[in-house]
Amino acid sequence: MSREVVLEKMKEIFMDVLDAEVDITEETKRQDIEEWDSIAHINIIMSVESEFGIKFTLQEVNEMTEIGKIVTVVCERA
Amino acid sequence: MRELEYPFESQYIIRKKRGIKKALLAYYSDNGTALQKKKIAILGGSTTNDIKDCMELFLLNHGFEPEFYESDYGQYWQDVMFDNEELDRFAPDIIYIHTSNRNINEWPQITDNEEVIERKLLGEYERFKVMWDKAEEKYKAVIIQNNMENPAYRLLGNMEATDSHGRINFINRLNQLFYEYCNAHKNFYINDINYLSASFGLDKWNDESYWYLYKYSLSLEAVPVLCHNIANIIKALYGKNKKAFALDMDNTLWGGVISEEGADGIKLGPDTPTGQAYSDFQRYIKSHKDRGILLNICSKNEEAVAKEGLMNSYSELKEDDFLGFKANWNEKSNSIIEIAGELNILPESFVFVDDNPVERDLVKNRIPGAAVPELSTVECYIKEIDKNGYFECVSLSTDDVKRNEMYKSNMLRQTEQNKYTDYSEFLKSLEMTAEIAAISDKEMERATQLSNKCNQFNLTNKKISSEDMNNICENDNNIALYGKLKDKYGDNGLVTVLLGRGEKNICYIDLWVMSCRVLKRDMENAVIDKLVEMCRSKGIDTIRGYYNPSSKNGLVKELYGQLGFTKTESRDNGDTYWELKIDSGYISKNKVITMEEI
Repeated sequence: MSREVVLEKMKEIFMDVLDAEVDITEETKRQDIEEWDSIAHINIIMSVESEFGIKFTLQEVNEMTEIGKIVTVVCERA
Repeated sequence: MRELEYPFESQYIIRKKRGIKKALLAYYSDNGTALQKKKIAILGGSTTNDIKDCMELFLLNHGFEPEFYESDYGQYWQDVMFDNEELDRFAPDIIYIHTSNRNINEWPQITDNEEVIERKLLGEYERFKVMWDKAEEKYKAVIIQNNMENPAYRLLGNMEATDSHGRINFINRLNQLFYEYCNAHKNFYINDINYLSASFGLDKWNDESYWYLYKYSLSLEAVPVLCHNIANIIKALYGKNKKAFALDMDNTLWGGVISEEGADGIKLGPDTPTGQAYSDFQRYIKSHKDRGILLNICSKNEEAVAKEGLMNSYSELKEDDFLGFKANWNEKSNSIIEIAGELNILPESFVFVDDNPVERDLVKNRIPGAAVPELSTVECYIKEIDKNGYFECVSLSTDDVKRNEMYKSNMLRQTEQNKYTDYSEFLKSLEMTAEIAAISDKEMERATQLSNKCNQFNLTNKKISSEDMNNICENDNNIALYGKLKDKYGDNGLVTVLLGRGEKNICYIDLWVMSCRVLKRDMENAVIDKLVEMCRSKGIDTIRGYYNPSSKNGLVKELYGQLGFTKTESRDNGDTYWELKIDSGYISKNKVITMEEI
């Protein structure tokens, strides 16, 4: 799966979980989006896992501080 | 909302929860639905954020508007046991204690002897018990407590279950102590996560990464399952359970179409796997009858043909099991509305069971609020209905068992009434007998309950506490009456209460209510006769009563006039005042009810 496709699906997930119009790029970080708090983060991670049918390891989740890093792991695993 | 009914997609709910909440709120505001406000304190032994969010969705779906208090992480015990102004101010209606086996402090060790294990067990139980006792005393709230789920691993393998050193054994014994507490305490309910986790799959429920990352004691996918279950307990507690089944027949209660295959051709009974599944489903439906759930038929069939199916020797359900029986070619939603009218319950209290998705959609659209489970194939019917918790049970009473009988006799009375053109002839045919007397300790509780429950036949709309009732009945100047009514179809029990305050030669009726079960049965005549008789024995010669209008009691606006009282005053607030002079010319009003002497 290409990085663009993954990013596009991630955008949908962000909009669903945050219920807001958000624009994300690979460079977007946690602190850039106000609604992306720790509670939303848990929901986003779960939604990404179920969307792509994968399960992240503890280590991977710990390092997911920006979108690009999530995309990288998804591309490796999905 | 479809998304929140079983079988639901947990991941979808978590992902879309903000959007779902918006949609629900928009739906209610468009329809002008008034939501029932409830204050819920979630006291957690682990993270509860998503539990709060999901619980809100499921409660909104049941017509509640919850407000939440959430304890700080893991503070469930401290929040109750120590001074907590915030929780005091919040004054919860419901306290939900979300604990798990991760909150067990002292597990048995392999080296422990029996005595130590016993001490550990009671120690764990006591820690919960003091908290429950304190919460009950301090907040007078409903308490919902998780039991314990099974552990994730088995050090002793299968012996975990049987040996007292095993964690499974320990959890089972602890749960048993929880249940004993539950059975001994009103307003205390167990949220059975031991069952939920098993049904969901224990390995999926115990997803360790959620614990290490976020301190969730269960996986996020299990959260909607947990919240659905809690919301079911809450809706049952506040009277939002469903009351009745409306059942299709062909391919629902038996396999095949009876008008085509004949009563002997339908699939039912032990000869085929499909037949067995239909038999089990019939048994499942039938067992609801004993729980007080009203069974009704709603089928597109010729009535005679439909009844033949129930005469099939393998049919567990017999014609006699049903109250409403609509086998015709009308719209099913209309049939349900008709049955609802006959039973005097709301169309929304029905669970409509039909294998045909088109019929289901029609009923869903025409009767919003009625439950319409998605059925797939017969072997799944039970699960598809049962997991929704439509009839979640919070107490079992003898009334539940009798309910079908009561409704049946109400319907028989209705049929009887249709035969008579003269209403008083009909009333006489009911062979009614009444017992009317002064309220004693025996009747006190039911009399208080009835006084606060009746909306239609209620002259003064006064609310009354058990203490008030006690005081009124103890004072010899007063006349506090109850009335019970029986007829040839059954016993209606205690159905009316009148509280008269005696002052010198005048009796003031401060409260008079009658159950809507026995309206238009001339019971009011019998009550007033009795009141007059008792007034006379106390030397009272005047009875005064008043009517205070509400949105529901228009029925009794002219009651005193009809009983021969004279109107003495009409006030600006709508209250009317009435008086009856008792002289030797008083003629008994009751002509249809036989009085029982007690």
